[in-house]
Amino acid sequence: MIGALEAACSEIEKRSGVAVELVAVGDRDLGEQTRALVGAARESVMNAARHAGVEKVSVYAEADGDSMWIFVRDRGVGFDPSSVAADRRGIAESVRGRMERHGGSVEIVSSGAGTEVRLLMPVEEIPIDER
Amino acid sequence: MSDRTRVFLVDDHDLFRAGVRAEIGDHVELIGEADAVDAAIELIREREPDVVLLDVHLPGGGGRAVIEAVRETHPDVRFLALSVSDAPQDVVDVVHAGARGYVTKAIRSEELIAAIEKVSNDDAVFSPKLAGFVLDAFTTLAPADVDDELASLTAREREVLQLIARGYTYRETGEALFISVKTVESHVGSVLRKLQLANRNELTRWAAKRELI
Repeated sequence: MIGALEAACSEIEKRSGVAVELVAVGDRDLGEQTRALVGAARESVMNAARHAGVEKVSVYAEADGDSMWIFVRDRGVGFDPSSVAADRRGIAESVRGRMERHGGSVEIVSSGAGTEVRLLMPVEEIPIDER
Repeated sequence: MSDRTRVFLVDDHDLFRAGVRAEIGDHVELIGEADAVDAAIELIREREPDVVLLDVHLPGGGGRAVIEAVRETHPDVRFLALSVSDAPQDVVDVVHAGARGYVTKAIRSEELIAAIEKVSNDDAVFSPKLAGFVLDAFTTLAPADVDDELASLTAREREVLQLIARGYTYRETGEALFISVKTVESHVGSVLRKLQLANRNELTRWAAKRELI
């Protein structure tokens, strides 16, 4: 999971010029759920790089025995998650849809001080090194 | 202001030192520089700065050698490690040797100045990366060689580190957990102590493993 996330982050860095700081704790083999989670994280990072108007996006990923979390945080302009559903299908579909189809959930917290997208994926697959 | 923090700078790249001087020179009192281990040890002992800004990769033994030698004679001198990389081994090495914090050279100058102030007040400076490393190390480490109490993080310490790893400042971390900044600082300080007390071989093994991911 971390390898895929790293690749996605550095690709966005190159394309957008926004620094993506990735911090990871634990790791997990790529399965269908993990792929969906990384995909949703990638969309979230891209949204932040595009819309937040910041130089840096923070990404934190953690995997333990039964869950994986990814937090994508920026200190940008923020937005109202309930008011953009119609015109920003990016969040509705590629983040929420992707997560929910695979049993995960999304929480978006946004204010004038920035935005944090919290992605949670409960899993049954076995982590890479059985911690 | 005469009570500005007295800072000593150790880095083997002239241009980098010049850059740091230009960026922070107005906010702290720079009292000296060195570009190698032996010279650094001698001058730091002589001038007794509050904080040493220390490059991790230094010819003649690395930043670690400076920290170990100076701490033998001057345990009050605080070290803030600086590095271009945040390879787990580098981070763990200097923090375990006694650095109060670790930041990468990509840090913005106002963040660096704030970090220097924190370290001079004896607080610890955890970048998101460092917080992540510590969480990872303590998840992986076998508690066999240290007291259980020392080898593991409390639930609250873990929460604090997770928020810092997510990019929260100490202030934001305090707000999220409904605790004061002082309390956040004291949790971070106790985590640093635990890291410094942890078995060195275990940490090295963890870092080597982490490097492969």
